[in-house]
Amino acid sequence: MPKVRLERVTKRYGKVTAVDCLDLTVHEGEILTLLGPSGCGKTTTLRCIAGFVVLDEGHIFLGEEEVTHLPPEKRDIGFVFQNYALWPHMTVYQNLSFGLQLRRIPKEEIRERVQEVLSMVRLSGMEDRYPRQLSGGQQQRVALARALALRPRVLLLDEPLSNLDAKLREEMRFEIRELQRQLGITAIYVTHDQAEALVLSDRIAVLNEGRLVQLGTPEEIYQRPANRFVAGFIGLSSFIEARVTEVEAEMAVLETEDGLHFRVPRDALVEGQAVTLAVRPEHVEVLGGPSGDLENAFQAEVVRAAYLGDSVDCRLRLGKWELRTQLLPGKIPAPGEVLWIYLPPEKLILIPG
Amino acid sequence: MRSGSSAVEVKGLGGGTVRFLPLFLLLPAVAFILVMYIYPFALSIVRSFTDESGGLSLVNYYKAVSLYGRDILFSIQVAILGTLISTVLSLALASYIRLSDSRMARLINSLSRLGIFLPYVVVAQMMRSFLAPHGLLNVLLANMGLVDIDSPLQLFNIRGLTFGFLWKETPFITFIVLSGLQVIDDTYIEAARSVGARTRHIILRILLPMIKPTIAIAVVLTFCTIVSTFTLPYMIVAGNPTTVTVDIAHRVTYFGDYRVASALGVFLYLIVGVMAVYYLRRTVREEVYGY
Amino acid sequence: MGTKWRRAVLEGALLCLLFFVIFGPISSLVIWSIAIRWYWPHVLPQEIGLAYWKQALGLQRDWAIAAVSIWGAFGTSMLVALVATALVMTMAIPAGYALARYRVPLKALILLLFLMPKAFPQQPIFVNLLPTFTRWGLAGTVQGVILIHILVCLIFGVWITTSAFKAIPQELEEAARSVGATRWRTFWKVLLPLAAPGLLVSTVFVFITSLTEFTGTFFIGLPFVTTLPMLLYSSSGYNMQFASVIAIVLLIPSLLFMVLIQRVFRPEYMGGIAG
Repeated sequence: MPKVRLERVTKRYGKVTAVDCLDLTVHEGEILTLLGPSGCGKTTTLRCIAGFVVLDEGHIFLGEEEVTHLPPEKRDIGFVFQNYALWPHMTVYQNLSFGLQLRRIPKEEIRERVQEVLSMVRLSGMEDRYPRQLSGGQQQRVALARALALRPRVLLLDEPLSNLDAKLREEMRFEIRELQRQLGITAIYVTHDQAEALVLSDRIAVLNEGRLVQLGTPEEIYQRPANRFVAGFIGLSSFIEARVTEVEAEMAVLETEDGLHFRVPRDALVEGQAVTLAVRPEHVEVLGGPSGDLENAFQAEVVRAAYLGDSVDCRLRLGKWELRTQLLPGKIPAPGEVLWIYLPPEKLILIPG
Repeated sequence: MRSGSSAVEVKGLGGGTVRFLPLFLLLPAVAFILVMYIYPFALSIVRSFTDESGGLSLVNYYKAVSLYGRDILFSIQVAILGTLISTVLSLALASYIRLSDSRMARLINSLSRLGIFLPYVVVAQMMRSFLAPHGLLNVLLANMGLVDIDSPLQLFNIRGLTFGFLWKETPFITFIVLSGLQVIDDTYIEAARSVGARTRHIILRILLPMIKPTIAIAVVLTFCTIVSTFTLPYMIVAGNPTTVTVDIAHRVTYFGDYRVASALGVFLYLIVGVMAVYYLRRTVREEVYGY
Repeated sequence: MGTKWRRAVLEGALLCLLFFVIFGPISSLVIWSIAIRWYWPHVLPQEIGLAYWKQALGLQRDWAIAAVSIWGAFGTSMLVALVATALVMTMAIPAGYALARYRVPLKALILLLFLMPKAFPQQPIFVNLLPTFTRWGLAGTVQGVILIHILVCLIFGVWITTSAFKAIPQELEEAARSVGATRWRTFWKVLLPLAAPGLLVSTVFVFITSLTEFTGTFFIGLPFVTTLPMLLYSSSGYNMQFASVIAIVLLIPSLLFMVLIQRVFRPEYMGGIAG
């Protein structure tokens, strides 16, 4: 059942179109991530849903109700801000109870509900602290609690973890995910951090230049990126451009300008079609020695190798193309050294065009 | 607020000779204030307790209260009235300008700033011509039929004086309050709206409480300014009652009586006393300790 | 749509009211400055002309019009304001630099000195300086008036200058020191150019404060030193037209300052002027 539905949502700032005719449906109880580089329109989309930004065109529905022209205070949403936006002149308790008071909920019940959300975010006993007396992570959790205290129809999170340090950020990802699942609340999460999106989401909507580029589960997005942009933005990819020269029963053969041949699963490939191969670093296998008869095995020259502690990031030259791969730490190859590599056909990602 | 902290870090930079450099740099200004302000300040207090023969006495205070008691109350009354009304108007105006993004709001904003730096002597002359019995205000009201031609509004009294102070101080408070409001990030307002706050809740429960210290400073400075201003009441209040500042001038120019004038001056200090001390403590604490 | 209209109407009403309250008194001045004859209760003068302006600006000399040339008073005002501003800034720049950049011994006490004149009425100070000035032969002289103006303006100068210096990140100076510039060179070549807009605001504010100073001049300068505000005061009792002309002349620099401050203003400077 759709919980949030966007229909042809468009927002322009002067000549720039921040969100361009976006259609999107978020299901009840799922957490959907809007992912994209800065300026892709993800935050604007979220702010449209919240009502902070007025649309130029399109419609927004929460459940059955159209909220396109409703002001934010009447939309019944919870919003978590990047800078938390905890009111500095109010204690934690006052921050959490403010919205409840405005709804004229009896005092007793307010107290109960505040206690309840505080224990959810593991901050019981912090009621009388002021925001400035809390750590960044604690402030983050209060912000989350404030949004949850009202039991909103949908929880909107705008890069809520980007002000935290790396370690805390990783912990909070799981915490938010866990809380969202427990409460069964519908959530829309904005981030530019692909790792965060992969960990958190039921589904990811990848945006670029105001348009929806791909919508799918984290696995789908990672394993079958719809285009070069998604392949490059989520995970690392090296790209090789080629043309289909032969189509067999199960396999197809691709040839690059500089005469390299790749065998790939046939799928729906047609002879003569232009194709981009995306190669993930973890899918490049380094062979012990020459292996002339194996398909998709190549000699590649090491361009640069960087020691990363748990692995070695290695850039290889394959014909005119550059491939990135990760080697186990051990012997770090020197630039100019020649390695034999193997690209398993079933792991190669094919992008038309 | 950025303050003391940055100065503390410098200490490491300098060696022995540098230790006296700041004092040396401050010396001219400090010396000037000591001689030209602190000395006469102390003198005014001493003089207020001195009788004609130079002995210690309360006679000046007795005279001040018996001759000008009503004016002391008048001064307080004008200051409270002026501060109160201009503060309320300013808070409403500044909140409106902060929350609205219409072209009218921007126009109102620039309009409200027009009078901030006009000197009181100009404002006083303006009020003299505008509020006079046959001045422009009465002309307009009479032509609209709101005022009887034969008995126009008499405004060279507490009403006109308060209007003059409002005219000058409202833009000032609005400006300070608005600079405070404009520092508040939009997300604090959006957060309030997302939990269901309407405009009046946002103003009364979020925006204004967040800048309470700024408002307090503006209120205190306005109160002190109104109490201290001599020009406006001197030029527009006709007869009695009038403000203490005008009385001081009378005492000096007509009677050459510096002792009663000083006693009246001490009353002025007392009127602004609590507020002035609050202002001094706050500002010094902020500058020195950074909070 | 209904609420939108209601909002626009309310905003319009507010705008009109403000417009009237602000421009009412100002236009009253303007009308009076060009009114030759204006009888109650007519909305506009019966006869208008620039006679008072011409007379005030020294372009004509007509004994029938009760106005004198303002150039004498203007000269006195400029002399006083220029000298006072120069002296104030000579004291305020070092003081502001010290307060902004150094850990000053007895800082709280020194700050108190610079704050007290803002918090407490200054009129009793002028009154109590008068006998002393008389004894020193300074009462009723331009020198005496300059001293009083310095007193009135110095604290503004110090506070705005302090904010102007504080607004410049200290790292920029430290970078200059790190490449070998002396403290003195760093001040002249790095801090001063960067703080120039703030110092300009400070200087202009001090200048205008001195130009329009009334109370101190009233006690110390009268009746021998006639600055523009004094001339305005003495003519306001008998000649509305002439007083209005002077008031407009005095109003112009303040409006220009408002324009300047819109251009180069940083909110920090307001701390110097107000809080």
